[in-house]
Order: sequence, then structure tokens, then C-alpha cells
Amino acid sequence: MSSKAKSKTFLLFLLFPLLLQAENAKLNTLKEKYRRPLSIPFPANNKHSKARAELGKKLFFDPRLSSSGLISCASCHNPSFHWQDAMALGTGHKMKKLKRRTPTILNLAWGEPFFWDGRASTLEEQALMPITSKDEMNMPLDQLVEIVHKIKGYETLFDEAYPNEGIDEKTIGKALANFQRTVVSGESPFDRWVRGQKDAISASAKKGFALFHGKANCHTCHEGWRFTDDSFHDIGIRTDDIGRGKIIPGIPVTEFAFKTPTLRNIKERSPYMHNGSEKTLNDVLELYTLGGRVKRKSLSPLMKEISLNDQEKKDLIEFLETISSIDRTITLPILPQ
Amino acid sequence: MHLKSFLFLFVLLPFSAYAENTEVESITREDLENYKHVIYQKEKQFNMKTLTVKVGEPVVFVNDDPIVHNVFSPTTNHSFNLMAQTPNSASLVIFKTPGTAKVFCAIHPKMALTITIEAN
Repeated sequence: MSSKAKSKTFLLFLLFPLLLQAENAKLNTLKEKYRRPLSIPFPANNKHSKARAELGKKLFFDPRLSSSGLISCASCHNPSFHWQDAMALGTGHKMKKLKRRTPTILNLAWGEPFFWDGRASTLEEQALMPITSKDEMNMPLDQLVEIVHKIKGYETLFDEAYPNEGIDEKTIGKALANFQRTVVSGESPFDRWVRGQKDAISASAKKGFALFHGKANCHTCHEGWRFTDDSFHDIGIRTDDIGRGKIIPGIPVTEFAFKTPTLRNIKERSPYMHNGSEKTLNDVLELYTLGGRVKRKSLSPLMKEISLNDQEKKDLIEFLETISSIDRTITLPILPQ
Repeated sequence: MHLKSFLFLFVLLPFSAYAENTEVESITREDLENYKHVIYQKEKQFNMKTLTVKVGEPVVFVNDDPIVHNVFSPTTNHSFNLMAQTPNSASLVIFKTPGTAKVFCAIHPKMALTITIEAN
């Protein structure tokens, strides 16, 4: 080895600890972005109380809120399936097949706006919409209020939860939203790694996280501890549903755009996308590596072909699997009579 | 109704309305120092939540993010659409009537801003 080469090797040897330290500092800063929050945010006009969340839970599981008396919010947002229904498309009133997949209600306290197309600005507003939708629970608003009034057991519960506010669509929406905000995914191996437990996730998953933030560019939209920034994009899914384009018409980027979903417990929540068109996580990776399956005018400029080899795909999926948690067991409420 | 008429009513008409109440123009970053009201988009946020301007004063929107934004206002009499704004680009809006404009990003709905337009 020449003396010049020797000096270079020596310099690298000296610099290596510094470079490693800088890399670690960078990773720690990044991890902070993914740290779970310590408490759930509630709006000033619907602060949390045990009585409110419990009332909301009863309403959420009560099929009498539908015109058939058979469908509750929990029929589609089933806690046994991470608050979804494990189907590509939802099923509504009279077994009608809906046009979109049931989204999870996990971690909605931090998200806005709501629905795949973002048509509801608040959770209070959102909570009533599937109930009154003709395709879903098919219960007109006035009849909903009347039915809840007729169930005498609800009177005391509303009095305790919302004193002097009565039973109306506002308090029904507020109670449902209050309960929904308490539905939070549990701690996952990824969270333990973020907290500093070095061996909480595998070396492959760590590489997957680096890809998530690097070449694969997933973090641009799936960022933060919920793995979503609640943005709307056309990611080139095969669909004739214009999504956000119907809510904000006349703006090309909103066409075929849907809300970026959370990736929490993603492994258990197949199939994927607003219409369940991607069956597995491998299919989802394929969609992204292709830069979208359909390249329309509205396709997000973020959708570009990505070259990932088999090992990199394996690493990414291994990382995604570390976001799954064993969530708290949900007990069914006894409903008032 | 013929398809063309339908397209005119629902696609072209809203944009022609923009032209009546607001004016939109692309500018270069080098020009920024010439403007009093400059709003930056960074880390998927506007750098302010409220702004007060006079009728006719240009309001500049700069995309300082590495991703595309689409600033628009759906407010009647103040509606405009900057369309897809690429990183590092800037556009200006001139409001021609007094009032209050709610401004959003069509891609990132958490980006919201209220502009109060005062009469001269």
C-alpha cells in the first residue's frame, strides 16, 4: 500500500466514529417524528369524559340506529378486524355493495378531514353521515333522534354525558366522535424501537425503514406516528371513482385522489386502497414501483417508477409488519332499553 | 344536455369566474423582494394563518417544499386556483373586491389560511 493510500485509510479510520455519530443523530431526529403522542386530543366543544365515551360506544354498537335495525357502526367498523370488515368493498343497507372499502377508525383523533374523499371536516360531522346515508344505515336524521329518544335508557346516559344539551343530532354525533377518538392503536415493535429498544425490530426491518424514508419515498405522505399526513393523491389505482374530485371540483389534482390512509396495523388490514383493489402488501409495492397502474393526467407527480430488488421489497414489508400492535380488547357494551 | 355544454357549465364557468374577481400570475423567486405580502409553504404548512391586504395588493405564494402544492380558494367572489405549484416556484394573486378569502391546499387540507381583503 502506498503512503498516500495509507494516509487515506488512517483518515477514514479516524473519521469513522464521527460519521457514525452523525448518522445516529440523524436517525434519532427521524425517530422523534414517529414517537407516539402521550395523550389523545379532544376539541374544546367535545372534551373527553368517561360518560361521553361510554355513551358513544353504546351508540356505535347499537343496530337500532339503522332503519333495518340490523346494522350498527360496528357492523362495518368491526373491532375484530381492526375496525374494518376485511372486505374489498363495504356492505350497506339491504346488503348493498358499496363503492368503497370500509376505512379503519384507528387513531382518528389526530386526523382530518374524514372519509376517503375528505367530505367531513370534523369527526362529529362524520359520525352521522354513514347513519343517514341511504346506502349505508339508511336512517333519516329526524327518525334517528326520535328512535334514540324512545329508548328510555339513553335519557340518563345523555344527561350524564352532555348535561342540559338534550338528545339531538348534535349530541349523538358528539358522543360517537368522543368514543371514536378513544380508539387508538397499541404499541408496536416499531414504537419500542423508536423508544430506544434496539432489538425491537430486525435488521431487515431497519433497512426497510431506511428505504421507506429513502428510495421508496413512502414517507412523503405516510409520515409521522400514524403514518399519514392526511393528504389526497391520485396514486394510479384502477378506478372510475373520482374521489376528492367530487368534493373539490374543477381542480385537476383532486381527481381520482383519495385520502392517504394510516399504515398502523397494515399487515392485518388487507385488501388495500379505497376499493380494495390491491390484495396484498406485495401488490401495493408493485403499484408503487410501477409509479401507478393507471397514468392519468391527475396522477400525483410523486408517483414515479421505483426500482426495488427482491431483498429491498422484503425489507420494506418486514418494516411495515413492525407497525402492527396487539390492541386492547374491546368488550361489547350492554345496550340500554 | 350535450357533453360539451355540460363541460362548459361545470368546468369552464368556474374558472371564468376566477378571472372576474381575482387575477393570478406566475412570478420568479428573484422578484419576491418587490412584494409586500409573501406567503411561504414549508413542511406542508403556510407560514401564517391570517393575512390582511388591501384590494389590488398582490399576495405571493411561494412553494418552499420539495413537493407539489395546489393553493386555491373556494370562497365566492375571491376564488382562485394556482394549480399544481412545483417546488421552488411562486405565483401571485390579486383580489379585486373586499371580503374574506379562505385559502387551502387541495392536496394537503391541513394547510389553511384566511386572507382579509380591505377596501382602499
